[in-house]
Amino acid sequence: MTSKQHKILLQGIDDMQTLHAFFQACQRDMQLSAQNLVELRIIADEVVSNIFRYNQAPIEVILLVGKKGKRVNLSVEDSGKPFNLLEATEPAIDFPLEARELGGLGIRLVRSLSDQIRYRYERDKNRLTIIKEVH
Amino acid sequence: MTISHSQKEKEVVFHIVGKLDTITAPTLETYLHEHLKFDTGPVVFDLVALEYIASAGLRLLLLSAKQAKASGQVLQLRRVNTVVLQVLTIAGFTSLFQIHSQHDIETT
Repeated sequence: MTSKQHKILLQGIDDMQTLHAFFQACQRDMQLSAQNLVELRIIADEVVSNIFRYNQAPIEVILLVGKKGKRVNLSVEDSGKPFNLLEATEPAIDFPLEARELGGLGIRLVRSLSDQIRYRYERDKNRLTIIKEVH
Repeated sequence: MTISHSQKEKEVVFHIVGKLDTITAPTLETYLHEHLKFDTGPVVFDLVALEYIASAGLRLLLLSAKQAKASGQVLQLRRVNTVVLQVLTIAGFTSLFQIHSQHDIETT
């Protein structure tokens, strides 16, 4: 069964406050489990905050969430600098506490919580597609 | 996200409730900056009502654990629920903190 696609435009980090209501609407329409909802929220938080952190305003981020069968498709388009999440390095996680880096864990979370990630830079936009198998 | 803390004898417990992400992490950071001290005794973060944690929150846990270690202490994460434990495991935090899951508490 295909659910209607939900779309939201974000233009700055403060707009991320609206993501809560956005994902609640997605959950209602797509009948997502609480666990899957949290995983998708974390993925979105990491991807979107990363874009705002590394780009100067004005910048537009469009987030699209849809579901087909047991797959949720989360697409993110942004007008920022080219950035391929698939090529970003993750921090080493086997270091002792004092040597652990504070940053970079977001990339690791996105990769671990997603089932497929595709990236392309096209028509001056980063286009990231994340597939999440849901239960 | 809401944050409060309470003290029972020497132990200080911080209760972190709700969603810990990019939007809410700065509030927690300010609160910890003001209230988190390791010179009075053990410090515990009670996470039973934490709905989820993203990397902005993980960063603060890591920072707090580093401060604890510098004072010769270990930060304890108590009543960690399944959702949060999954993220802590992915982040490789299970070896850095004393973690007591919700399940541990309920069965002991």
